Amino acid sequence: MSRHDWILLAGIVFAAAIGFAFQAFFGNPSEDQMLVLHLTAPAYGSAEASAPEDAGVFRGIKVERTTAEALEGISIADLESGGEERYWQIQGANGPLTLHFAPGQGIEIIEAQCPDQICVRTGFIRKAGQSIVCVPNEVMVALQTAEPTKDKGDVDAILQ
Amino acid sequence: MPSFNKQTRISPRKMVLLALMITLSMGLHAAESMMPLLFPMPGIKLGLANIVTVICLFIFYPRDVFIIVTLRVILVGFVAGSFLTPGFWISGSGAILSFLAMAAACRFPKYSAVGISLVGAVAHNIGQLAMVSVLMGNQAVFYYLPWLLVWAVPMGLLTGFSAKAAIKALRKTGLDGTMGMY
Repeated sequence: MSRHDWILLAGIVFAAAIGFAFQAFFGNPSEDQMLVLHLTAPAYGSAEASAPEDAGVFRGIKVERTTAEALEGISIADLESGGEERYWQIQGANGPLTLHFAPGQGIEIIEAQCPDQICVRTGFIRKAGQSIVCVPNEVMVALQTAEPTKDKGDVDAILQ
Repeated sequence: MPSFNKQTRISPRKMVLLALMITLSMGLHAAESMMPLLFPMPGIKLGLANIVTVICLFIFYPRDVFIIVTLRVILVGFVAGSFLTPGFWISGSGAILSFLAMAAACRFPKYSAVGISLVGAVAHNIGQLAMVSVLMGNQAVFYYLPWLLVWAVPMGLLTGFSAKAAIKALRKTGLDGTMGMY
């Protein structure tokens, strides 16, 4: 290895370190932010279900509201009971996928009709920014931060 | 001035070598896909086929290496039955971006085969992530980029040192650039 190879190697490690540091500083939702479970699936496009985040510690997905009415396959009640272990199915392009929610551990895909099973091997996600992707099924489960949505009582004006 | 009427001829010797390299990279790709998963994270592969790309960059002109890489991706798609599936596009974009980055790195003679291989490993991962985010219409996967950068280092070193040893052996046979670039 030449000296320039070593410099290159150090550069890659340094870039990765910056990435990790960036995630450590900006990845955790602040107290007024929410953790949003973002679900993309072919059957109903993209849907969001928001969850309050308790001081950066994942306690459980608890849905306060859902922006998509057409969450076929996921009953809102399933998501609302955040304290309990839950399983639910969504329809992927190749067939059904089984999602598993375990309190304190996160969300994982435990079963999917895809050749490489990358989504299943990804395991639990529980932090903002993490995601599970199943490209053959066109399914993506992502946890993202979002600004809190105001309650209906806070609406300043309604234009008609 | 080059004439457009003149047929660009490819010597039989070069054609055989190109075919050999494509076969070799397909074999390495197949061997890798048969390996049990060594790593906890999805998307991390050894990238054994990259060894051939690195060797070829030292022997052939970049446009010939481009043909080798493109044909390897397409042929592996045929053999594995993944042609035009999402997996095909993901591995293809990784392979092409990795080739482009390595061909660019080759213009800096201060990098050895190991350095070029590191560049290739990083570019391969970025290309794959970019294609996943295009296919899913969501950039969330780039969250995993730091992890993939970290893993690119041991993978790049492995393929780099393998390529270096192979190039050294090729020098003894006279099949490498000492006979003039093919």
